Amino acid sequence: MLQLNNLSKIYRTSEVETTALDNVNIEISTGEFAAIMGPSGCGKSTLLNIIGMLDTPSSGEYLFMGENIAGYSEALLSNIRKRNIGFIFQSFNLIDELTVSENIELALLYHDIPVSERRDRVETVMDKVGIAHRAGHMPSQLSGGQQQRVAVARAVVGDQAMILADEPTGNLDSSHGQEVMEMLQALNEEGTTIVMVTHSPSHADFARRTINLFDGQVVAENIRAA
Amino acid sequence: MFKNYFLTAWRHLLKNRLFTAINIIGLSIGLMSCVLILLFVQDELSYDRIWEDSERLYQVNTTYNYPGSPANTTSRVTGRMKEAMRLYFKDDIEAATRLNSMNSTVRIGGSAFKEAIQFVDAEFTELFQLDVINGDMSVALSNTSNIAINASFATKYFGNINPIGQTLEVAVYDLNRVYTVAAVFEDLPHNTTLSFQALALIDESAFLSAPWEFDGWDSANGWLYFKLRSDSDEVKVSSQLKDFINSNVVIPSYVSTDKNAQPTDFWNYSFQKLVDVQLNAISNDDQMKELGALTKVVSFSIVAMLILAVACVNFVNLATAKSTKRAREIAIRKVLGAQRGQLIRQYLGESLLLVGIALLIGLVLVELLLPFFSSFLNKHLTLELANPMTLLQLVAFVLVIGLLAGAYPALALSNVVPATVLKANKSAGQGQSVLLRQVLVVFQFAISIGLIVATGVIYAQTQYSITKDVGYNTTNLLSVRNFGTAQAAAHQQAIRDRVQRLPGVTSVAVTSSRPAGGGRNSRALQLPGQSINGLSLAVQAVDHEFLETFDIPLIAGRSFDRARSTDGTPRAEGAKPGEVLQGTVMINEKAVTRLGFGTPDQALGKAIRIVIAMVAEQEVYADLSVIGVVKDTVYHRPRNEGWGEAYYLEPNYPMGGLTIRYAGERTELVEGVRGIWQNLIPTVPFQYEFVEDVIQQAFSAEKQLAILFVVFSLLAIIVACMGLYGLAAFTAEQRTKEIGVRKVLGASVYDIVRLLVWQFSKPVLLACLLAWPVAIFAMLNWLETFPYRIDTWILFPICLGAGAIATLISWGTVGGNAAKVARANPVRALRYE
Repeated sequence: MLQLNNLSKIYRTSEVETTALDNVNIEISTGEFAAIMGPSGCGKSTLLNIIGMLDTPSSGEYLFMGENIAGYSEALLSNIRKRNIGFIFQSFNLIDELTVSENIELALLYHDIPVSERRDRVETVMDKVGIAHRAGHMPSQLSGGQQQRVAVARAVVGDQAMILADEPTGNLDSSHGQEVMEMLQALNEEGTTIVMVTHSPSHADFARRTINLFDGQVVAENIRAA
Repeated sequence: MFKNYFLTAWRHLLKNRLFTAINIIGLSIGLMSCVLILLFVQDELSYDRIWEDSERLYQVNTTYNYPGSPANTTSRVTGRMKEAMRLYFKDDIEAATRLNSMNSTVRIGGSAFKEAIQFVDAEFTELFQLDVINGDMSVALSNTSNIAINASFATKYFGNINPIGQTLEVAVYDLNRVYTVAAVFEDLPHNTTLSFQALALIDESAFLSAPWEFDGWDSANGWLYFKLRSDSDEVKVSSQLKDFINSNVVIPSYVSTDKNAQPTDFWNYSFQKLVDVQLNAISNDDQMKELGALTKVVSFSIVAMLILAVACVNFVNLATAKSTKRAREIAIRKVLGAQRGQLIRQYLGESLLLVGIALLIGLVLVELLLPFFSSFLNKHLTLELANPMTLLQLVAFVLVIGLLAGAYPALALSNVVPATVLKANKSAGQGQSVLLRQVLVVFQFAISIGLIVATGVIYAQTQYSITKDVGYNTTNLLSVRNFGTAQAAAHQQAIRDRVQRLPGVTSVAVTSSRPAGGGRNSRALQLPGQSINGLSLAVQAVDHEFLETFDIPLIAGRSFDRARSTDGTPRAEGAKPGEVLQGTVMINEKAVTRLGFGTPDQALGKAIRIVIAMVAEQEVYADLSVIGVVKDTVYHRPRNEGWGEAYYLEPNYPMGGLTIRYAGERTELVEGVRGIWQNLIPTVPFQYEFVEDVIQQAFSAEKQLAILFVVFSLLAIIVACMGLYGLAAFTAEQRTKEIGVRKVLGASVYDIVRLLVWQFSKPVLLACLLAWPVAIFAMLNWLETFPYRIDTWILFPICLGAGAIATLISWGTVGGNAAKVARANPVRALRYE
């Protein structure tokens, strides 16, 4: 699916230079479920942003489906991203002014998909994550777990091959967290590649592979036997 | 896609009620002002475009250029100009007509009325097309006993009877003629500089006793318009004007006896496109109606744009202030694949939606206010929404303003970097837009301060003009019109004497011209023993009660005395050709200076020489020695400066003014005078005015300007205040945490309020520095247009006052929010972080 070769990210301000990622080499193959772990400030989110093409590396190679996209323009990246990658955030990041179904539909708006097909897909995915009965509600009327389910639905409604989840359970209580993790596991079993940043070792256990980062470097990798 | 944009925009507007309200109200007020002022401007620009080939119509002006006195231009010309120009410019001028209104009296069924009858040439219809309802204009102007009247004239006098063929009597000078109505035309629309109720063909032979109307070259009493041929041009005619004048005009001997003098040394003619007269007349004096002014049109257009600018600033400020919140939505849209262009379009669409809503509300306000606005301006303004031109303009408004207000927020927001925004609770960097908001707030304050200064200056100047000392006591003075008409002339003495005996009448003066009655008559004069060409002074013929009635102080010498039979201008009867008779005269201070008589006291006993009669084609002179010097007055035109004037006690001089000083009730006095008048001269309409009212009236244009300026400035300031309030609310909300920390560390409510208030006082100070020079420069220029104006130093207190008002406004709007935030429990503020 993707391959990072000697990838580094350095943030510069006028006074300080911070190395967020230092020569990272990671390969994630299609269908994998990988968890990225590490203490605060170790570069987890930066890594996820670069994988998600929301940020660009300072040096190194990023091969996405065989293509080195390290120097691509924002418009090109945006095109690749919208067809292949879905996002789930810790704080859900739903748009407050849109209803549940409208929020999910948003992910299809920037693709050229006819209205009727959009509706069908939104309904299908709402059934799948069990939020159909809340279709017309505003995000503020939902519990955190429900909001995150909407976010999951939004991430997969465009048939994305990969989901990037940034602490998807960080704002949820344990039972809701468990629910979301099970949903991700189910998606993975259907073939979706998932890369997840998490603090929770128990949630990391859902992944088959754990990558540990420390000070911008990969310090350990565990692959759990199937 | 569009539906999604619209929903987001709509729900966003609903959710942020305060900001939406501020934006919509501000933009509505701005658009309302713009539409109202646009209607006003369009109307002012439409004057005299109703005539066919209006671009080829011209008005002719006369400029008197007598040595020693300032050039004086009037929109009227002598009656001889028309034929002379037709002949000289026969290849260039297609048609020309005079319009001469001579204060005619109309008599129908035994009652007398004053109506604006214009005497015109038959070519009138080739220049001006009237909407004829009944009859035929060419018949009406084919002979000198037909008349054309307008619809209101017809209704007023003939009611439901068909007016065609009805008769009425017109009296003016020696003319006393029965006219037959031959045409009825629609009343003139308001957007023309022409004004009349009725039209009749000029019969020059009927006015031989009033040669200044149609004969001679030195008196300008009528208007002249001509239509240029389409194959000729203005420049060509202009270049030949001098030759035309010098080959046609004859210099009267009392102007100059110098054989080498050219007529163009003393007077000149110029012409101007009729369509330019309303806003840019060469001469505002003696036009048929009060004209508009380009400065007014320009200044109101500027004010309208400023109000709109202030509303746009509100939009930009609030949109960028709120962008932290919006940033998350944008980031998500970007993550989901939105391109920057799509986002820019979305946000521009949103501002267009807002401006569109504001326009609808603005139009409702326009519809509600237009009747008042219209009648206040004495116009008939209508908003024609069905007119495609109007719709196009409105759409253009929405587009321009929507893009102007929305461009920066759209560009700034679409530039959001999702990775930064979407990290849990971080807000987007705001550095750039904070600076922009500060600049814009300064700009808003500068506009407000500038408008307050302008309003203050206009108000002060208007007050000054109205209450300005005209040199005589204007209160308790009644002025009677039509005293100079031929029918009244024989009864002047009797009327005067009977009025004098009315209870409450203190004093009565008979003068040649009415106070504040306009006009100006000059008389050429010489100084005995000196040869100076073209010396002249304004003429006022007075009686013995003149100074007492008007309460004009004597500076030196004495007034005319009934006991001295030699006082005044001597009678010319029995004089020999070339003889010089003796008499006395009074002059004013300006005349003393003009004549070089030194001090008022030194002027006493000095003489001026005038021509009083022609005997055997030779002049009879009078040497009048100065017996009194009186204080300068602004007698004739309240808006102008006074001029050098001589006061003659002169038998047989036509007297046109009857002025009564009274003590007591206005109505009782008016009824008393009316009784005497109707008893003696029932055939002359009784018309009167109170002098102080006339003077107030003369400044109605300035008053109107002042009132409108106050209203529109107030609107601008209110809109600015609303924006500031919103921004202050936002700042206070944004700084909740900081304030919480400060309070935990021991800051008092007072400390916090002071902190926030000071933050909003700085832009006011900066704005003062920006606004003052601009406002002072603009207002000094405006004041230049007045012959009398307030002292320049008054601008400084006005500027300081404007700054103080702006500071108070900022404290008022910010203070409430600051106090609320400052009083809140710090724990609440800090808990959510």
